[in-house]
Amino acid sequence: MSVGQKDLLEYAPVALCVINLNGEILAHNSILPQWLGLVDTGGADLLVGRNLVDWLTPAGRLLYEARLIPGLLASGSAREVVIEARGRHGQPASVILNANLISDATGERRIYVALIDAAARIAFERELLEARRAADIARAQLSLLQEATSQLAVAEGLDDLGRTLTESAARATQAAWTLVRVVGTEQLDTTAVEHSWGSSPDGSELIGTMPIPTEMVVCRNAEEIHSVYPANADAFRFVGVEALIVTPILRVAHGDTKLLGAIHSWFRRSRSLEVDVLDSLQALAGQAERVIEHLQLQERVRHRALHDGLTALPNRMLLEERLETMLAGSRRDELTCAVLFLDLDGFKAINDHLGHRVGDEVLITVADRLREICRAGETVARLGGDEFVVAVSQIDADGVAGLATRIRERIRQPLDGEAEGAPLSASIGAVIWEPSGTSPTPSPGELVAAADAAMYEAKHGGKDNFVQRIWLPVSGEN
Amino acid sequence: MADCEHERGDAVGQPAVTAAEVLTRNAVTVLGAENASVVVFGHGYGTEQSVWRGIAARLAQEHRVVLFDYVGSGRSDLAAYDEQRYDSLHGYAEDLIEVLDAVGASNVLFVGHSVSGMIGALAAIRRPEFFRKLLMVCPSPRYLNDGDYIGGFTRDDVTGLLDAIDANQLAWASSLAPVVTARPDRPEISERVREQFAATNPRIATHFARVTFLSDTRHRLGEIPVPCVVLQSRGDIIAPPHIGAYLRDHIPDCTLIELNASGHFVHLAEPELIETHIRAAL
Repeated sequence: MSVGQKDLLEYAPVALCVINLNGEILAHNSILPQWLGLVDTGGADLLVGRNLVDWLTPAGRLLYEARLIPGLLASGSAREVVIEARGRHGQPASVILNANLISDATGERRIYVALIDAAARIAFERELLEARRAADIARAQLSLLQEATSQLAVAEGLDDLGRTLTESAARATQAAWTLVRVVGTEQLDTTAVEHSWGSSPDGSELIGTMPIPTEMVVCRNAEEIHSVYPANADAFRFVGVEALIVTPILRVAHGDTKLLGAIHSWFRRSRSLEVDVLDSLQALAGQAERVIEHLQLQERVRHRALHDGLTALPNRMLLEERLETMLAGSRRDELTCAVLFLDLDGFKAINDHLGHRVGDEVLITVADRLREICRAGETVARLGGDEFVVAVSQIDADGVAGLATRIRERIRQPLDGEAEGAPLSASIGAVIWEPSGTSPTPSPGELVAAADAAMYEAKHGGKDNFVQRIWLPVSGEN
Repeated sequence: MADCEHERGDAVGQPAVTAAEVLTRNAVTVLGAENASVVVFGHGYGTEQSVWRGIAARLAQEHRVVLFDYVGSGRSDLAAYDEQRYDSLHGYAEDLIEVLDAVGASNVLFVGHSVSGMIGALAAIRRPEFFRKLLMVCPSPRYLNDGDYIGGFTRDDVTGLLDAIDANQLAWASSLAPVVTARPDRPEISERVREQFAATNPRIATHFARVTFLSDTRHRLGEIPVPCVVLQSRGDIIAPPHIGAYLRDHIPDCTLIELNASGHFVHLAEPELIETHIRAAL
């Protein structure tokens, strides 16, 4: 018995058909209607004129139209495409599809399709794929956090923290805008200074300054934004925000919750925001909390090293740093600057007769009074004992004299508390430096010593006095 | 120290790009006469500028024609694919605006297939001065059903598509890569590009699919500031027939043309027909 090509076409376990670019079936073998659950009435033309796409699931149709057809048009063929059809009972049944795009003599383009039943195998591959995807997500999440951790471990300041957090959060969420805010970390600052990194939507001053919630806020679409932020929903809509997350950075200690900042994520489309994304953000916020704590500790240590423990004024070390900066600035901009050395008169008596505790209170009062008199940018330092230094730039001799007068008047004002009635005044020596030409810049130590010497002159000329000198280079005439 | 790196606006963390960078990044092709009226073509999901090649070549005889690939598609610079920027159609609208800026085009007729229709709409809302008219071929402002609105698909359908793209990614990448990345002018880079393509593109393909098929531009339709022409084909799987009427009813100045042709790739199946409508819109 010979086997003809017709038999081959009809009995080979593969569904074959020819379709046009719109999916209309032009010819097919008898396996195709069998697979599609249609009783083969013997006519090989049963499906001619029908559309192959009608037997695909919606997801299969999307794949067909969005990827298969463009791919075919680009390359002329498609191989081993897994596509979801509707099986005999309407249930999804995946098949493997091979196709060639062929133009006939008239230029008419046709697609020759072979479908191979591989449902069980494809189902198994799907499971593998699911598992791999879950593993990929977990791995991506882990590597994100690991990288963030290693970068945060070497964070030297808030800027490092802010940059790392912004980058990591943006990677985790793919948000259009990511903004990291950290509020009031300076120990001695009473005003809440806010630092921020990243970007925020246009015109969203409103959004950025909204109070930070104590729990994560997740709005997956415009309706959810409206229900959480009814007053600002229009503002969000106007700037194109359609979903958002606010992840607070919190410190919970002894039942007390302190807000340290927040990670804001704004999206330009509705997002499903799965648990892995939210977990990553929570983990980042947790790391940020530890880093902020660490940086604050560092800050505190540094602050202690550079400040006087009693009055919180800069100590000698910080004074030297500030003087270096001031002198370099004066040299660069050719501006006059001055150092005032201040020694209290009457302090020893208070200390000896009323005790160190009262003496300490008086020193704190003096520090506060000096702070009040001096402007921002001027440095008031305590060198120890009852010696203080004030450093001022952009000032002339008259200005220095005026400042010294104001200081002396303020120190003379009556004391409160236990030191009430005790006389207190200040002897001040000042040195003014006018940078000129090639004359060398004095060192901070030299200037302070010269001011100290001027103060001694003032003290010897009678207490509550003021002596002012112009700094002259060593080579010059004094 | 505060606000030191704080930027605002639409840049989404991207540094400004130069015209030359955009021309390379988006593989911009400019054809036809200078000082002629300008037609700009945008491709849809899964395709690239070459789908417009035939129509573009004929139009270039009398007009200035601009073709380009969105970043992530065709011969665009895949390294420029930024998942934050391209996490919504706005990122693609920025591509379009930057391309128009780079070629110095204004007052253009923008012809956008499929998702490019809405990308063109968003770009025109942002920068109306670039556009004279939008011609949308088989567009849809929303592919998912939503209450009374029938987009044609459910979220599960789109998830199924994303699964299918994943399931097909190896076969797909190996069969399509050589064609898409063949660069006769620079054969030495083709292997590297192919590798990059195989590694990168499935991720981009899935992300672009997600952004496209989950997009919702319905609430912006009323803001479209220029006249629109919608070409609606019969039997379009991706955009059901009633979508054309929906767009006509929601875009302030919109002409709906129901084509006597079927399929989503009507510009490939019936190029002469589409060319006629483009010429009519010019």
